[in-house]
Amino acid sequence: MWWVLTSQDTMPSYDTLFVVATTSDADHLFMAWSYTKPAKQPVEKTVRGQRIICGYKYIWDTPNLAEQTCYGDTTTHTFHITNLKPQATIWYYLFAPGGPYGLQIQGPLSSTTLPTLAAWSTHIYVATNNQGVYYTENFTANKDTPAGLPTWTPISTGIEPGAQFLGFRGDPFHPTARQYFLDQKGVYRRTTGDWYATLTRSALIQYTGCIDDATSRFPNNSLEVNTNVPGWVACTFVGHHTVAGAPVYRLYFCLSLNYGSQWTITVAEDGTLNLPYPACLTVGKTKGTSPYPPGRVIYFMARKDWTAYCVRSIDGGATWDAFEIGRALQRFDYFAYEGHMIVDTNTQDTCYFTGTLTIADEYIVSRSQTHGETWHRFDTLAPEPLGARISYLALDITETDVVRIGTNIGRLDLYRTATAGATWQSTTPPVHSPHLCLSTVPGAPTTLYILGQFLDDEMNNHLIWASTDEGATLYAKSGAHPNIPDTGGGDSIPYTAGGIRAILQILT
Amino acid sequence: MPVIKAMPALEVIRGFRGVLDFYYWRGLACVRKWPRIPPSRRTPASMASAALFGAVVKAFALLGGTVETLFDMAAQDQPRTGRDLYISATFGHLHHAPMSDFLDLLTECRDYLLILKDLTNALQSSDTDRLLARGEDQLFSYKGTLSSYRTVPISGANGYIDSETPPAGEVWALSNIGAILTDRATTAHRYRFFRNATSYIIEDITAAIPTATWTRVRGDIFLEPGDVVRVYFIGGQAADTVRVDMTGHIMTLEN
Repeated sequence: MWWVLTSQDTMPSYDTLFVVATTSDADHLFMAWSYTKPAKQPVEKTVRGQRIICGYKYIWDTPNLAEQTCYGDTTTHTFHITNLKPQATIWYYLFAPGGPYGLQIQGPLSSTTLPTLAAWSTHIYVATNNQGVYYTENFTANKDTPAGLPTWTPISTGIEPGAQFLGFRGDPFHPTARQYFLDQKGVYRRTTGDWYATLTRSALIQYTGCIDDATSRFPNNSLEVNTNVPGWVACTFVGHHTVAGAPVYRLYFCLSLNYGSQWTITVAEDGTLNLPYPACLTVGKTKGTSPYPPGRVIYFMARKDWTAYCVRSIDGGATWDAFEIGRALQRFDYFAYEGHMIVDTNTQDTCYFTGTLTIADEYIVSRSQTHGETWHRFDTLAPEPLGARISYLALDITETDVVRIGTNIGRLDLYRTATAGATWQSTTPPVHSPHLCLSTVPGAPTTLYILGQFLDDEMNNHLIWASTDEGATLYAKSGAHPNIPDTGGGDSIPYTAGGIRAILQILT
Repeated sequence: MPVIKAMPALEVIRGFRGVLDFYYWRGLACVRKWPRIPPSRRTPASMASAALFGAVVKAFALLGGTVETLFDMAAQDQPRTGRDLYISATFGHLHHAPMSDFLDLLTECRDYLLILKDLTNALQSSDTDRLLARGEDQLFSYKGTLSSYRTVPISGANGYIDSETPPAGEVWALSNIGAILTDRATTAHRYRFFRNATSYIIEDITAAIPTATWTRVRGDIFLEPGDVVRVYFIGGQAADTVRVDMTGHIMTLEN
């Protein structure tokens, strides 16, 4: 048996290395890796009586071995190595035993250096609500940031002005080279220059045959990429149909395996449950205790009246099932981030959900450890009763059993659990700003980026909070609100951008 | 065998590749026509090897961009090209890494898994609660109890009797064989396995065997269609009545 490596991508993080490779034929691959570069042994041969060096062979001194995370023979091979030495250079090659003539079949010598852990990511992309994406290479959250920093560059050519943000993702392996943006018009892709549409709402309406009205739309946060499958980008779509004179809402899963060039549309929910409000597409990253290959488990949430559902696929989006999460949830789709669902980054059978209760006016957090089939609600989340309605919820998982939740009850609160939800701590002093999204730096769990939005009359102010002590001290960045000075001194994101909705950090 | 004064430089030798072949013979620099092996003299192994090599070379076009770049980068400090390194890696010669016993164990387990996979593929389930295993002339399945007897006149003086033979599709597994001559005493009963006109000894019982007395042989003998057990009665006379009994299991061949 032999094969050809048709792709090989790496995603190094602070102390982990993620490698995804594809081969022309199915096989079960291993990775030999080392912190030291293998020695080169000359390959000599005698040509017409003269000894010449025709090349080199790499001699490894008892390298470490890693096995691909998927069982059996596959054409996509993922390797996830953890607990590496920070900032180290990893040398490796992929191979499979049992190649031609009984020897290994081997890949090229590869190396990657784990990124240094800076207090802050200097390269940051932020997606605004209605003015596309802005980019900076000199972001710092230091209070003593020189005046004029950061300088933001707009990247919005190709996106229709005023289009409302619904999703923003970078390619997991080449985030600066390829990005995706979703608004109500469709999915846009950008490589190095302008954005251009790869999947439009009008095409979906024509393909699905749904009614062209405001209820046939892309949901919030419904754009996702897959770290286990290069080229994988997906989104969801809700289509308004009429059956026997009654409205029926069908949920569609749109998947591309070639960076958005071609799309496959699958019915995720055929209208039996009639769920008009889906949101938050999330895909598994690590296999963990799940029996399914990593990246094959996909979730999104959907609501009908006062009942929330988890719509889930365990086969990469080919087939879907819907499971009830809970009832009596109030209009979490009214505001963009009122509800949230995210898969545990350490095990894809676990998924978290946040929503708002109608009667008690408090938020709930539920967790499923059964691929979304059954849900457990944490009743003792807050250390103290919350007296106001929760307008925004966000959830971020950075480490094993560490879950962060941001809430707004007229102020910003961060809740953190290090016990898988058994106990919770409030980690942030009240700050008078609603909270939209959390982002953390791998390897630096106390570093947070918090995207905020002011509840002014036009809902169009924005800021970035940054903290290196898990929210105890916050520095406002990029704030154009007159009441919150930008301590960094620079801000070129227009006040009318409609707020920052997503952040993409580039580790350097 | 033209002898030349001196071996030319490697660049010159390479320049004549495919045309002239330079070599040393007993210290003498020689040159000859580039050797070619006619296809008729190639062995199947060499042709298979050449086909594999050709396929590997052709598959270079499938190589991913980043992978090809890695091979090209590795080729920067050596005479080989990235394509050469790709071929070397495909045949397992680019890296040498002593692997632990763990990998050997994994490889062994993988081989066993492949065998199990073949076995699983050979299984054919015909019902939800029943699994049928299908092989080729390998497995017997039990059909019933064998109770066979045959009574005939003896073939002649010191003659014999042949047992029944299994019908087509059956194999008899014999555990007991008995023989008797009812008319007179005998001095020996000789049990033979008879196949294709050839006899093989099973047991010789030599003794003063009284009239109408059974002798018995226990064992594990398989009869296929056409096979018989033949028992000779030493001391028997023509027209004596003899009988042979066989018990055991009737088995059927899987196909």
